[in-house]
Amino acid sequence: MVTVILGLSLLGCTKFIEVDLPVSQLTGPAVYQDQTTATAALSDIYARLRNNGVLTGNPDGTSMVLGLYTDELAYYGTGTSPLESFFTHGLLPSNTYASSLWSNSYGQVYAANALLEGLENSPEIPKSATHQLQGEALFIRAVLHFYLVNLYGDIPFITTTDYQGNAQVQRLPASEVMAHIIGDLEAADQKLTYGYPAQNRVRANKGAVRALLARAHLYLEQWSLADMYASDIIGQTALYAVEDDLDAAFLKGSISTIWQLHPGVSGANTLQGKIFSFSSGPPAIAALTQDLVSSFGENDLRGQHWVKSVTQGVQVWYHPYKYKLTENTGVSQEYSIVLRLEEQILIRAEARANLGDSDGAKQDLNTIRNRAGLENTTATTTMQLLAAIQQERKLELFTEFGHRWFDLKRNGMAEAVLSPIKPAWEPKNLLFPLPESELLLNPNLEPQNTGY
Amino acid sequence: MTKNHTLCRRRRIYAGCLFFLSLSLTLSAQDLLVSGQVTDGQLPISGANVLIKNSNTGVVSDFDGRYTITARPTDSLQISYLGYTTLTIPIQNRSTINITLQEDATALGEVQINAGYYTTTDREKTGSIARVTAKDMETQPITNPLAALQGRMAGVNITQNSGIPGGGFNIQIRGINSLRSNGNAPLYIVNGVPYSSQSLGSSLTSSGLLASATSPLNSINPSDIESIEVLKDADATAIYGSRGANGVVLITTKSGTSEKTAFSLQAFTSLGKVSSKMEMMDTGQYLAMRREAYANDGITSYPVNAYDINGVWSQTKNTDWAKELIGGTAYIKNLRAGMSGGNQQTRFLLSGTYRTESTVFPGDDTYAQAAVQSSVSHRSINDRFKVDLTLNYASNKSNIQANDLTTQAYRLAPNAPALYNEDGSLNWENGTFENPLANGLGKYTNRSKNLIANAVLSYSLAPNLEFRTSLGYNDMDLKEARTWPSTVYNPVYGVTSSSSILTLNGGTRNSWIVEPQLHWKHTWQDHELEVLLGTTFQSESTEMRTQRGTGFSSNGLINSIGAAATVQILAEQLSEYRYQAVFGRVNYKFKDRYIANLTGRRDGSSRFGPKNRFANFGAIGAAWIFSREKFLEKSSFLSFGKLRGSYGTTGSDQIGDYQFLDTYSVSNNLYNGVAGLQPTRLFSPNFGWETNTKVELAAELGFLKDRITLSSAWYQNRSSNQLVGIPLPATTGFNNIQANLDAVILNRGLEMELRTLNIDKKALSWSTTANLTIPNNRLLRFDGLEGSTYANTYVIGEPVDIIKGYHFTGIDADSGIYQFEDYNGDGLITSADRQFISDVSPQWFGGLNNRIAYKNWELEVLFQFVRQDGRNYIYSSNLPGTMTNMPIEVLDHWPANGENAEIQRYTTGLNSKAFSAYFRYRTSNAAISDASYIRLKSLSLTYKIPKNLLGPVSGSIYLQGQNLWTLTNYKGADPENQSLTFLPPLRQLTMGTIFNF
Repeated sequence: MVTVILGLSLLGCTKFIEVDLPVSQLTGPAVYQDQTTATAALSDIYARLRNNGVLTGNPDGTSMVLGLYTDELAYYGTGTSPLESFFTHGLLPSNTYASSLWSNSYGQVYAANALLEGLENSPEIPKSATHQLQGEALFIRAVLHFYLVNLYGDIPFITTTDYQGNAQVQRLPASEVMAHIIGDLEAADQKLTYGYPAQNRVRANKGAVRALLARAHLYLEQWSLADMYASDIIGQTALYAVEDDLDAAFLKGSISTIWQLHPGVSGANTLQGKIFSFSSGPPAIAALTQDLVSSFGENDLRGQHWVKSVTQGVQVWYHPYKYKLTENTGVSQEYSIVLRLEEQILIRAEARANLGDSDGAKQDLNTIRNRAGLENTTATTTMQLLAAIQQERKLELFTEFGHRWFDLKRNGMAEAVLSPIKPAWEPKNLLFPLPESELLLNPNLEPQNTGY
Repeated sequence: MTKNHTLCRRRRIYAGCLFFLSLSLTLSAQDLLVSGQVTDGQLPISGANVLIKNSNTGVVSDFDGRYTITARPTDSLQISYLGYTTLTIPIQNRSTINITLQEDATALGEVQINAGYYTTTDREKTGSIARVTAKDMETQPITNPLAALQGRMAGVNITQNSGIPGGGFNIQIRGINSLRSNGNAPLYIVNGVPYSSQSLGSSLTSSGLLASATSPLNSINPSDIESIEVLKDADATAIYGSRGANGVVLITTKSGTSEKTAFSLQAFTSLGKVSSKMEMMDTGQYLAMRREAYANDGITSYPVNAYDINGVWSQTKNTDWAKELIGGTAYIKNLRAGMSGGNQQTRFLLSGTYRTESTVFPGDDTYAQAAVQSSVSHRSINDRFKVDLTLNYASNKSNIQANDLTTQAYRLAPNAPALYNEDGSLNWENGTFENPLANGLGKYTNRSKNLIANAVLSYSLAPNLEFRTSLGYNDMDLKEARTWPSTVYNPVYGVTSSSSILTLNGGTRNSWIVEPQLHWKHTWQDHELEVLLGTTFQSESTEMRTQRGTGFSSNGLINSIGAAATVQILAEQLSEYRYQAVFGRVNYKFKDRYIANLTGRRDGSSRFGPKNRFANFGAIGAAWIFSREKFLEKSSFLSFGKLRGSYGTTGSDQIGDYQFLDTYSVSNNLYNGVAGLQPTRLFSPNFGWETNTKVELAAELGFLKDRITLSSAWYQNRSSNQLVGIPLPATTGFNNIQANLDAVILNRGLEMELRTLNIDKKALSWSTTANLTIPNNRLLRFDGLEGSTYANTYVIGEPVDIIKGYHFTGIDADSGIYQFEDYNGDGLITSADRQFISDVSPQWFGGLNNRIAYKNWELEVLFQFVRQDGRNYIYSSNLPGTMTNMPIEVLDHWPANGENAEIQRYTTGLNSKAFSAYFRYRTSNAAISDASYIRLKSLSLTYKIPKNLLGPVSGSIYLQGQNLWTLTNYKGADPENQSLTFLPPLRQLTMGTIFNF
């Protein structure tokens, strides 16, 4: 009997305790043996970009936090939300939104790196498909680092999935990070074409890569490169054109869209639509500042079509109205637009103005102004022209992933514009603090940004 | 021990029978047929063991206490029964011997203790096993069996983390062994079936309500439990091998005992209220604070959203929100009916319990449990074949509002508007008031079902050899739903039912276990040898699915996922766990006083990679009952004396399934019609078992015929090769990775249990039990701590339960802002200055229980005490000066009370220096203070209805109070759960009756 039991158990041993993977999981290598599953891995990164981190339309994304951080949005929430500190400029290293921007973005960077590493050993997937996937992953990695470097200054640039190295990684000077970003984008540019791999422009193509290249070179004040990439996109007239109907500009089929994020569930619309809208006052989270609302001239169609007023008694509040739908519809109508042609036109205007091509700059600026129902610009000198372009950027790109903040910062205008309206303004506020928890886990990230 | 013989007997007879190897004997010429009756002097004792001394031959007395046995005229009979002193009577050629057993004055005697795969007695055990029985539990209105252990066991520290029905408990047996926060749960075994303590609940549905996901132990009906044993040292736990590191909790449910068909009925009602609240500012004090904060910040015109102070809200209204929101009464109603009976061969028990509980929140939310228990045992006429079947089924249903209102109770401004409009609808005060009851429009419903079935089949192959197989099956099913109708949102959002949300979570877990075993026993001269050999096959599969439906055409349809416009799978978890082992035990006893116990186990688990699947664990235990030595046998002072010790290893595999694999999982992320695939985790294929080496030395003494017994144990557990989710910075893409750490945690401590029988008269008896534990926990070794991600969490030589924070040095007299020590002297206060170590582990804890019985009355008083530091109200309070109410302690502030005040200058958040100082203050030593307490845990008064008053019906009436009184210096609401976010344990008053007939 004893032997029977013993024999039974020893025989059973190794076999018995081997279990199959659950049906909802695949091994890492298996994912990259098949184009469909590799694409599913990429789709997941896009979905995460939409749901959290810098590009989300949720309140912890850049549209909301940087709107509050600048002169775009006024905070009305009660209680203590992490958002209030952005509005008051009382940001602390323990702020949960400042740290979720950081950690979610690096989580997405990891997924992009895992995809790039997985694709290196995947002879089963056709070359062209591999290039497409690689190009998109490089683009995503660049986008994420681009926002992070502009928010936090010196940051680590992560290119592998090796957790031991990444756990002790050090910060790189912002200029080096920018060089890496441009490197990634140039590599992606080689791999991608202007053809979109999916309908409705929800995945990146060459246009998206070049749009970000144009923006990166603009931020680096490399005017001719910015001009070159922007011109290339503007030249793709079969693909892109300015959407003349302001009410159609933020619909999913808009012709000016270069890259947008799919809302996920069918029938869903954008998160931005949900968080910015309110139907009666006072607003629950935020409303457009009086300053921004009054910046739209009386004739500016954007002030009429992209801003909505809510009146209660004698009080009036305004909210962004680019995205008009707050709830689900039978078929999704609005996607979250990250890159669009109008920004490229303004980039080229600024580059041209700096390169001395005033006429070209004016022409681009007027394209945007005319669409908004405005007269041609009256600016004449380069200085006036540049100021007019900045003003136009403010009105055209408000509450779209923090353009206003980045513009104020790179033009050295932050202090002049913000210190009168933010009593707690300090020069240190040009950079966000690194999350305290990160510094505790990885002391190599020290020192904290000055002042925090 | 009380005089309620029949009750005792019914409960214990069965346990006695099961492990008594009675064997048939052939009649030979010189044999004598001896018969008689076993009584306690008045009533017959059924189920007493009548054994021929120094043999394996024995019988069990029948319902009338009668027995018949064949023996040689020169033999002696040994008669034993649980709770009674064992008698040895020489036969001396008599054919009729009537036996009168005396009750054992103390419980220590021959009480059988369940050690899992075998039983032992308190006297002869070599390991450390603590025990509570139904007697200690039956008058307490508890939902979770762990509640019954609080204050009653040395070495077992239990805290309740929420007063909401269904909320969980934390249990630590001999301290924190693992750096992994969820790696310190003991192994639960219910009637031989391992019971996973991992919740099937999803935080997506229960967050904000329960401090931790819903506890599966709630599915075990406390009134069905006969006993709970906690195995602590290596000797007791090594037979559980890889799963014994954190101790083992054995739960045994009641089983049929009496042969006469008997009925029992128990009913109780309990009223519960929040026992300890913080005193908050009134409107005058609150508005003064707000005005001062604005003045401090240099703001004269109040912002538009400062509704409390800018005139939008009343300036005089004064509401005590704690009274309003958590000041209600929670009712528990419980009814249990049971029936038991049988004959010599077959015994059964059937019982049903129904219980409802309500909450202290406004509204009529309820939690209901229905439980059925049955137990059948059968033995063949020749006693060779035995089968025991137990079945426990419980169904829980709760319908509780989806948020704990405690946070709101402590934060709402006292002049906030009324909750309801005059027409009874929720008041939003024109959109300026986030009504706390709005969340109550969303419901959390929870339905769980749990079936535990166990069958033990045994067959005597030979007189001393038994083959036994234990077959167990556990089926758990949990369904949770949480609704977020659009009406929970402030109407200013203009949200309609097309934004209403329904979140559903469904989980099932099936596990089966088969454990064939051989038990062999051999006795010769002064030697007694018991050998056990067994093997385990266990398989467990878990399935969990969380889905969300959004968009309903009407909020009336919100409970139907089919009516949702879009349905999304949020999480899908499928896992399988397989476990296989060989185990054994050799117990050797020499001259009834030298005992050695050897246990071991070889384990294989699917949770480890191919290289590390198997590991060996084992222990040796020894005991010397020196009071049985010749020179002490006659001592009238020392009635019992034993020294025991044990050494061995156990392990832990509590890391979840598949952690060693590189996988991608289907995520809940839809994108462009594609369901995403996401890297599941960072993986390390080679992690292995965590090992825990335990040493124990103990002395157990009985004085004056065991009227005083004292047992004290010293233990030391070294837990090494720590298997942890090492926290990682976000730059790695994940929070952590499972791997082994070269770190050693030492838990060492002293446990003492004292039992005295102060008065033992027929009419009056008084007994006292006390226990005290002095634990000591230290991180002994951690190679590379400095360079690791734990560098700012742990310190070598300190407990693992420390908090590293800023060192608060006082309030600056000029600026009125908190100051902290600049450890690195760089002139700045940064996270590098979080160097002050606060120890929040318990310093000592215990309980003191007194039981006084006078005639038909019985009074039991249990005190529980803990000496510890803990996080106080400062940790969970908002910035003083903002739009949230504060405890009155906050009135003690700068500049009014100068730099010795508790609180710095008030600010609305605009003073960024004060704002950052506030955050540092919360994570400084100022937020940690004394959280010791002495609590009158339980007070019960029972009246036994005199015999013959109600004819054949016997019974009792009782009154019980739980958490009646607390003595503490704690700065906060409750020193036990230390939270201003979750409801503290309730004070409960219970009245109940028990009838037997």
